[in-house]
Amino acid sequence: MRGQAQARFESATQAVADPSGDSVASLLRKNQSLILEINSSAGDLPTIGVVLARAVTDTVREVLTSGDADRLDIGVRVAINGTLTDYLPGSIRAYVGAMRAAGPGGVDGTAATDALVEQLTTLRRSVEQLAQASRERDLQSLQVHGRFLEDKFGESELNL
Amino acid sequence: MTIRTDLPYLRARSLRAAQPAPPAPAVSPSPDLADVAGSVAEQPSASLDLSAPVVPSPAQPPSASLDLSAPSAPAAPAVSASLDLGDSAPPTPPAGTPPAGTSLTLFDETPATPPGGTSLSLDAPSQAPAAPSRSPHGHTRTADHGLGLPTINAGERRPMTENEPVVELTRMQSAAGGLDAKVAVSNPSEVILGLVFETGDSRESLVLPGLSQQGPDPRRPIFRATTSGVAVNLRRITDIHRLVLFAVPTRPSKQLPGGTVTVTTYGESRLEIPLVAGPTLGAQALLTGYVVEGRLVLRAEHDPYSGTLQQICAAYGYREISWRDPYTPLV
Repeated sequence: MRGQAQARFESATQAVADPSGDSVASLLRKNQSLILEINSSAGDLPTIGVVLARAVTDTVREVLTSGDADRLDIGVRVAINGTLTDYLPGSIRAYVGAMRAAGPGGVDGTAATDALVEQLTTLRRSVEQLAQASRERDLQSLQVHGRFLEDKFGESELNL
Repeated sequence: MTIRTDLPYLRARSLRAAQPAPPAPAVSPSPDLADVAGSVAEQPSASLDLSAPVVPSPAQPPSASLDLSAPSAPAAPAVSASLDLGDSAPPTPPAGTPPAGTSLTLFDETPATPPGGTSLSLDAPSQAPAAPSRSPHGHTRTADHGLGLPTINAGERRPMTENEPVVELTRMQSAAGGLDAKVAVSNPSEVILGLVFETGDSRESLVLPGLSQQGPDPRRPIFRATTSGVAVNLRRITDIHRLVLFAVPTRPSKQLPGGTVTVTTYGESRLEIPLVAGPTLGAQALLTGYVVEGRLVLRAEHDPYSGTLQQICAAYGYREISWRDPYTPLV
């Protein structure tokens, strides 16, 4: 128990010391908590949604545990942080919220499922390209994919 | 009593309706019947009155259709409908007065007509992609998303490591034979396997040796659990939605022995999931399976957390199961 409390204290202090949270260790923790969230909402998601979302977390984990994870470009870490804390949870929560609002047998969820699959497929492809660009140290491609993710899934500047 | 008089009245009424009206007043044994005859004599006129509004009503669906074409060519008789739909045709000359009255009744019906108009313009393209694609043989074919996940060949062995945790079975592998999970440890009595699952009709249940050996329906089981392992009947893959394979240590210390759990398919492909020795809280999730468009996607979870069986089920989104205690489901 004392060890657990100590670990919790350390993680809390680390979160305070690292507010942006895009160090590799904290990204791995966020990945793990995102996996927990995906698994626990698997009852509300379509199976293809779970599979695709877990494919995204697999790719992220692969990037974060690769040999040169310590030398990851800051752009990659920011994009991964956005994916883990905003883009992917946002897609899932929006779907679950829509399904719960519709109620059992309320609406045919085909359109919502299609939208979720499209978002997750795009997210997965972008993260994979980001990982590939990171591996090849392709700076321009890195910037392009990071910006694409931001534009596609981030908060729009036009939102009021 | 009144009912008994009503019945001959109805018979007489049917006869007089079949016959012409004039003989009806001739046969009048009682004043009541005379009144009835009068009412019967009035009925044709009433029916004529009813037919009068009926006559313009068939004429108005064409007017509604004319309204739809009104932007292109405004038609003269469509007055009310043109007022409903657009300002484009106010200069049309007024039509006859009785159609105007019926047009007021139609004015209430006009909310029913615009969906038809929009269906002509907008819904047709939206319905066309909504229809499921049909194969040349006339079977409906579900959407096919290429998942791009690793597959496995017949006869192949695949350790499901943390870096390669996923295997996607083909439709053939997912639908033929069965899936057998067995434990390979030094003392097989120290651990049992169980399955928690959700069927296609959204029912969640659980099979565990000694508790409920077969599920979801003991008469037509899909999942079987014995002390030597669990089996999934893949011939009924369409009834399966998702599943989780878990291990339960049988020792009182809840210590899980180290070893391997093997999952074999009909084509003798073998997936090997490591069983990590260590203390648990009662159960450890090993493998999840999701049926995506007829294909079974299996993933070794390498879950760093163990928990009671109830916690494991809740962590994987199985919340429709009731529990006697945190280790014993109510099945």
